[in-house]
Amino acid sequence: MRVTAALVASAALLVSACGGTVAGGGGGGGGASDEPLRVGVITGLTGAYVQLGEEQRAGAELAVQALDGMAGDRPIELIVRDDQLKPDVALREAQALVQEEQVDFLTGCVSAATTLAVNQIASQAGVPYLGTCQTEQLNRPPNYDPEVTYHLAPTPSQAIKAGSPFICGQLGQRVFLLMPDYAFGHEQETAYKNAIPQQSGCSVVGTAYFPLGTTDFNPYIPTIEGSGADALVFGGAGRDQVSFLRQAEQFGLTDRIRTFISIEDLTFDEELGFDLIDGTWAMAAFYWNVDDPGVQEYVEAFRTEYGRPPGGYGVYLWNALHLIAQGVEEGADSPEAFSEFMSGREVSLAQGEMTVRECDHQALAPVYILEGLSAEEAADRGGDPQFGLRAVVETVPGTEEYAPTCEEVQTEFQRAG
Amino acid sequence: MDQLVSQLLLGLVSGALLVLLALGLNLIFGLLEFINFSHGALYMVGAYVASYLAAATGSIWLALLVVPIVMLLVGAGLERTIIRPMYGRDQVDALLLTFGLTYVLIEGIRMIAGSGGRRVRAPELLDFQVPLGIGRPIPAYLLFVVLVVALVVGGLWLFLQRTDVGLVVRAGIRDHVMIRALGVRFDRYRTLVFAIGVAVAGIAGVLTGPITGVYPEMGADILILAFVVVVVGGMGSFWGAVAAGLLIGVLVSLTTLYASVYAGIVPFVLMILVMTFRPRGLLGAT
Repeated sequence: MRVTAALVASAALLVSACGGTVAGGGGGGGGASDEPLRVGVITGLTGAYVQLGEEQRAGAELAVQALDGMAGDRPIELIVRDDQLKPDVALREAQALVQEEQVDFLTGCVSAATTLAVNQIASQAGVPYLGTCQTEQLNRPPNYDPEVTYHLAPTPSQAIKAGSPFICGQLGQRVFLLMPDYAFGHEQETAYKNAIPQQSGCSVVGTAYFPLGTTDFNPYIPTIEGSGADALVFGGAGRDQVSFLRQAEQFGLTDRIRTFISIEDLTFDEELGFDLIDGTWAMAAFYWNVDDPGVQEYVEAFRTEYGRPPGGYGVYLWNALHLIAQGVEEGADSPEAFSEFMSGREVSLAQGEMTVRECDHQALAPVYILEGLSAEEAADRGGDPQFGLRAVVETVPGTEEYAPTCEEVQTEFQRAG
Repeated sequence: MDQLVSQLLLGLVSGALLVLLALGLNLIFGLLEFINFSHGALYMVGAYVASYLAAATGSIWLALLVVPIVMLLVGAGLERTIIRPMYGRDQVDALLLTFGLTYVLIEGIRMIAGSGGRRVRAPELLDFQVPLGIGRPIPAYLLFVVLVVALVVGGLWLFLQRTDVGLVVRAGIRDHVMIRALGVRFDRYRTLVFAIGVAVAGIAGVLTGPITGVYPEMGADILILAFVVVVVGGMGSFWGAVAAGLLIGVLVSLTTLYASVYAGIVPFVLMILVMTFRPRGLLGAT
């Protein structure tokens, strides 16, 4: 046992050494006109969300290819690092990127915990950071730094406000929430409990939580049915989603209670297959068969390289690199100039029409409501017999109607001092 | 009342798979006296073999016959090559070795099959719901899982109780020094028990595929619970593992109904209580 104790102690020491304090560095931007533009990408390339992290790396690399490797007259240099989904590793890697690699911009993330760590370094070093995972916290006090922080993914409450009218209007008025038991699940629950009662006659009739990585969802089935719900919202992602839908289908639950998936990604859709997806609904900030030239440019680039359409996470990196390149091309290569360039920026990229609003640098982009299809419907409505697992049934535009207003945001900032 | 009955029944189903995994773990611990950390990864390997067989043949029927044999051979091979040198050394060595083996197996599967999961469907023959008269109908596949688990548990029990080999194994669990002194070639029995433990894990993997899908980390997710079952039931206790598996399944299921947020910690609270007030486990030997 002494050996084990020594191992544990060593590991603890290693972890504490890695998670040390952060010094400023970098001070990105302002490079000479032909100097390489160094962009640091930090994402989860190992761990539970490895597929999403790999897709983010692909999104960034494809964007660089699409831009012919140039931001204005500066060649783009991507430096990709793995945060292992751990905040302490994210801190270390972000610090290395700003101090040793002297990056001009930082972007990437698939986990809310690591995005805050990267943002902390970005803020101290004065390097613009374009966050790409769905969290309420990045551009709220105390994390938001107006000089460097940008959030390109929708916040959970934004997406949920956009999706709730469809849930209550089309699926059912007695809604059960089945949520993962960690910060993201609780954020979703709060957002649904705010948004659903605002729809006429609609209410949340029950909530249950499951631990992240649950394999056995069977005990949840009678709990859901016993609640009298006619619509179910499932807030889990990835493996949890696959396990749940598989077991729900065995019980015939999805035939009896209309099921809405809060977080959709093609990576997991493929594993679910038509049988499990048919007869369910979902929402997403990106879907590959959306009829929009900006979306299709990215889809085409991804398909050419990887032989399949992209899931939903690489798009944020594609957008981030395009925004950075466009900004630098327009001379916004210092953090101050980039902030000015981004504030209120309206662009049409791979998520469709998007605005980065001035008050909190939050991107307002469309949310797509998707219907799960059968294999027979896939080619006609989904656009592809293999990957057309879903079809867009409603596009909710990215407007302030679905996000906290800038007034509410300002009040929050003032309250936080 | 109906809902309570449904929760109870589904708890028993959930517990049944835990029982299977814990029994293999327990058997190996009983005779070889170390905790096989790679048990979850071997369960995952069994599930992957089944997924390829199911893809080739269209159902898991053949896998249910072939996987136990494949895993029996895998188990025997592992025991003869890398496990055997651990005997007589500190238990921590075997623990670390099987810990390393876990990562090798997971990464190996990732290299062969990719990081994503594989789909396995329940047999079409079992694609219906069974009305039980009380509570809500239960998918036939889940009842089939309970049946297979019952057969494996019964078979193992008979093997241990009614065969000469089982007699030696049981005697070895009690005192392997004495067994050796009586001239029994004990190494062979160790190989056999390790291989049987791995084969049982493989069967659990086959049965789980249609319920959760098959993916590289699936063993890590469930191994911790299997450890808890072994500790709660009593290290090395056959019926202890069965009772603890079913008890934990039912307790988690009932907690899901009344306070789902606590369902995940129920097995660990139970383990703390057992370790505090009954350290040898529910049915462990004194």
